[in-house]
Amino acid sequence: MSSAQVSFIDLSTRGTEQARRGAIRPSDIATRASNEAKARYDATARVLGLHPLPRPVAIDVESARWFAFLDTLEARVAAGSMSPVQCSTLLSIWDRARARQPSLRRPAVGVSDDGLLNASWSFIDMPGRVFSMEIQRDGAIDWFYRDAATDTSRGSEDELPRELPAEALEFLAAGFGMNPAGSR
Amino acid sequence: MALRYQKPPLVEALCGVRFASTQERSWDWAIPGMLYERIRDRFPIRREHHAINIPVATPVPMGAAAPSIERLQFVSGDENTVVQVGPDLLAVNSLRPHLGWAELRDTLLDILIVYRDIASPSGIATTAVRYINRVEIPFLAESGFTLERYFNVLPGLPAGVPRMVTTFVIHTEVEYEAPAAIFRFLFGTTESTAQIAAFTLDYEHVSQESSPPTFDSLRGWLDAGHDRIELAFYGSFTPMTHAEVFQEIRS
Repeated sequence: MSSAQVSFIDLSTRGTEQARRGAIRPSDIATRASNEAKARYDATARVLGLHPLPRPVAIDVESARWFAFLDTLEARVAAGSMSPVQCSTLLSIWDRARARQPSLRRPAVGVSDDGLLNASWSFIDMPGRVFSMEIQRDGAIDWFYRDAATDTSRGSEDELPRELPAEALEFLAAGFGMNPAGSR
Repeated sequence: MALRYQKPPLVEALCGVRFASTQERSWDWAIPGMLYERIRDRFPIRREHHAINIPVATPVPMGAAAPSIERLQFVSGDENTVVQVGPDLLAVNSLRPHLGWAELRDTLLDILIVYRDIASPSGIATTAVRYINRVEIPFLAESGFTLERYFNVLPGLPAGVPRMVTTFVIHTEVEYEAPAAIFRFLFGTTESTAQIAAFTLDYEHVSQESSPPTFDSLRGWLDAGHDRIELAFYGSFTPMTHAEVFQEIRS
């Protein structure tokens, strides 16, 4: 960025008090950053009024896909394409899993033509590891887990549970966090 | 096509000119007073501006106070429009509710005629159009929050870093030709509340130092700047943000 490119001064009238206070003072302990670069960042942060958000927000497509699905839940139940039990079962599993693993990644979700609610955790940066489940209209859960790296496969038996078993929940929590066990 | 919203995020729009040296005399502080006498009917309120400003062309050493750029402000009766005059500097700022581009541009051009009559600048050194937006998005506890839902421009992270962010700033500059300009885009988190996530999106179209517009071509240059900013603004957000957050008016 040459000086010729940034030669117009800040003429905005907003936020001058905030700028005076200094919205953010980075504690810079780097030894190789140039003073110019540090000054630029500092100036930008002050002019912009750079502040953290009150809570972290997601910036990945997994989250976008998940939240988009959540947004349609009510409408799907109202339209009858999903049962209320399927909806509450999915949300209950999500809440329990997130309680064990706060950074749990978001699944791909969808409803099949025959009314099964599908959710799967399978990511290109986790080759060989997958967790999937089908929630039937009455809330019964058919689940499956496989991790090729440890040659582990587990899943529901003939009698489908109405609540995700602790073992399955553990696979989810341990295997699909942002920094899961065994991930690179 | 002008964008129309029921809840526009625009906080401030401004356009301004920095002049090349005056021909007949060096700039002096009598000029603002003479200008004020000629525009006081429309801008009756006078203010002095001593705020710290950051002339980013000259990086400020860490810990040093940024130099102040003093200027006088002449403010409209409703306090929504501000004319700023300083050494070889003239700008018009439009605060919320925004005047609209055509009126903002014409206000600058009208006052420029008066300014040239008083100060006789030899030419334009730099000019700029700038739109500053504050976007406020409610946190929805039940469905969470993800930037992709609202923004088409996103911060990037290295692989392996959790995709949950609290603070970011993106500062990007690109070059335009015909007319030549630097387009600056600045996007970052700003002061929020517990229930509202707030972001600043700052668009600035600045002339190249080597090829500023002339007085005759200024109007077209400003319009080009506004059109480029409008295009960038529209492309910065998802359709949902335009429709639901800004409540775009379609006609």
